[in-house]
Amino acid sequence: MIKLIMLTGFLGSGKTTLLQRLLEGQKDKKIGVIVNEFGSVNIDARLLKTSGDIRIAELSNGSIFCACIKDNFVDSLIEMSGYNLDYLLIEASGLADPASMEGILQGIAHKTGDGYHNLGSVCIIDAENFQDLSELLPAIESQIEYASVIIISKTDLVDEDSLGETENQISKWNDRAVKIRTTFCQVDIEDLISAMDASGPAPAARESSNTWKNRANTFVVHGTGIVKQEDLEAFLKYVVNDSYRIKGFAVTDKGNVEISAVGDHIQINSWGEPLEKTEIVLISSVGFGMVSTITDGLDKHMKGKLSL
Amino acid sequence: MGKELVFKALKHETLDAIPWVPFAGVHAGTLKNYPADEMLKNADCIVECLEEVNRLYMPDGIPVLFDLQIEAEVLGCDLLWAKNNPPSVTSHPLENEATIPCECRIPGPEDGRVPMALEATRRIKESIGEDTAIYGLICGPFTLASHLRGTNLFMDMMKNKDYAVALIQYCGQVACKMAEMYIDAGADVIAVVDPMISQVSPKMIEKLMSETFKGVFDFIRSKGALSSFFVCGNASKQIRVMCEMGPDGVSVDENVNLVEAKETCDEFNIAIGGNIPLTTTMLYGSQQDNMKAVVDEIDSIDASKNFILSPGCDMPYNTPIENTIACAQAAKNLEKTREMVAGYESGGFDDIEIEIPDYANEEKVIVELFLLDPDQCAACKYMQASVLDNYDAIEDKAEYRIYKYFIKEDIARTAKMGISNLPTMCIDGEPKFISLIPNREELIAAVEEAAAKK
Repeated sequence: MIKLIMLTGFLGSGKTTLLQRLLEGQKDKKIGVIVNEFGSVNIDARLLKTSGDIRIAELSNGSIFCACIKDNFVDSLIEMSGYNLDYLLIEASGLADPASMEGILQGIAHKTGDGYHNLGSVCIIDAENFQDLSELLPAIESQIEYASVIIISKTDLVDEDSLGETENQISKWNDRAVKIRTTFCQVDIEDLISAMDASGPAPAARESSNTWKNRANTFVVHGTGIVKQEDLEAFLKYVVNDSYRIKGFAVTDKGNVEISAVGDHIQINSWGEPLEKTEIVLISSVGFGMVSTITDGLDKHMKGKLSL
Repeated sequence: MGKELVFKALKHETLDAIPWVPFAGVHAGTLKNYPADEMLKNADCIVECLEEVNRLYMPDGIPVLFDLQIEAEVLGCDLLWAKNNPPSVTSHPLENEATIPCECRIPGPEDGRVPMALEATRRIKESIGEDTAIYGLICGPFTLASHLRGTNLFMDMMKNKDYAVALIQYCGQVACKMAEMYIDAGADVIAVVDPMISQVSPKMIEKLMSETFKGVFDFIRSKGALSSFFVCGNASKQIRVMCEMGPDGVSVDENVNLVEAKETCDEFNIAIGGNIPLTTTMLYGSQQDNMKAVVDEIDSIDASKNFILSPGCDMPYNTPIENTIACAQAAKNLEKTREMVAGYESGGFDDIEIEIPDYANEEKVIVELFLLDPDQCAACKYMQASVLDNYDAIEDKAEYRIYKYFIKEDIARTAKMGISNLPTMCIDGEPKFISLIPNREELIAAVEEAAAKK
């Protein structure tokens, strides 16, 4: 039976990092991964492809619980159930509301048979941004409510008082989940599974809240030439305040880089793999109006290099 | 000349001539006898009709399809098709549920009539795009939101503002996607056509829509194309807020006072297009009325910059061809047309002696061509060529005479013959071809018919 674990958590909380850690620590196990991204370009799947021999299904362009790509999600679940896997890890998009997951599994049980043992979901909370973001979107509350384990990451970036406040807030929404504090998502998969077993049963499945009210606009900026890293930084600074999350890869004069921004923190790390082009996904926090900020930013810093 | 004139207007450069963009949407079908419901579904028909528009009307820019229902159709609206008009929306999929369609429903290159529209754009670009600016028309976000939600949208704008904004933003995403596809297919200018804008207050527009429209215009600019914001109805009060959204141009109909609107546009250094009256002048007026309307319009404003001459909106299906030819003539040959209009207004040239041939007793059939200026008016040139090029086939039975409407004697003759539409070809005194250019067989048949009566 394939052990199924879903990873939830808001945009930029560290789901991909946790997934990478889990994959690195379980090289002797056969693991399948379903990577769901909100944008049209699947950056996370590319980050994972460097991790060795794993079976990956990429689902882009919306939440797997939204009607638009739910079909593809269900197809992937059925397909993965046919492989000889130890684990199937599902990285939901940051905006996904997992409330309907158990319902989906029951709905396809006739196709998957005894294929899956659903261990539940692990929700990653970004300790630094939680207070600001938790008020914005109902999906976060639902991600916490349905989690068996809650990993509070980036604890080194906040003080103890603020951490306590965050934990109190989380307990109000879910007091049965096991809470784990980490800095860089350093968790062992066996510990994680024990913690999941120790947690009480998740609430009954309900309809996902992934509706128009919490849908975010995403944009992709791309280009084939080499960009100056300094211009790239200027562009990212220009647009970061209008975004929940920015991620992607760029071909720069200082080599290939991976980009990740949450809140107003921008990280640009060198990327050892070859890249064909620059692709940056931006998830707007200001609705459709971000298109004007992006075009202005491109015009000021990336003219002729990158476009929407 | 040609498309460069349109580009100059939309880039706010000084104009050395008047850019002319006839909105021959469904009307293009009349040139090749296709009803609207046939033409708007078939890329072959569209290309054939637009090539004829290009030939007869000498446009500097041309819209590929004037049909604001393409997006709505993909998103689930039912359409009612008509012979003489673009289709209209008859059902609103979101009428009873305040939801936003999934992003996966945003029209793509394979959905509904989009592939047909893109194919027509690519082919017409290939065929005439070197000289003529290609306009890709997209449905504005507000009008598309109305198509989807029906009149409930107006209630939402009062009671459920967040939803109204979200729906209009979604329609903005649709607009960007449509613009991108048209630009990739070769469109030089994207016209965001939102007739509904004139129906709401500038304050409401600012609050609920400006951000979305601005995003669409910024997006078009970032793709390297030019943009124009088309509106219908009395949008006098909305012009300022439209300019603030940052299009390269706006286009208005006859309900707007062009002089005042152009002053506002000039403040923002934005081009304005319009606004030859569609019904009173283009549909029901005479050819002289159309020339006069164009001359008067151009003379009323500073047309040296930021101006494009256009009909107020999509031209009626049955707009007489000769009226559009008259507008083209005026746009392309303003000075000569001004003289023609002056002559027409002064009551003509009754004092000039004109001798009408005694057709019945002439030995040969007399083919008479009543033209504007065949060097400037394409339709006149082609009608003249239809006789000159085929004269070898009729010369034993017929002779021809050419009259030009800028020569006093010829104006007087045109009046005396009672001809009100140019170009017209008379055969033995009978107007046989009005605006339509005969092919070789049709010309020979008409001459032989007249010869047989002798």
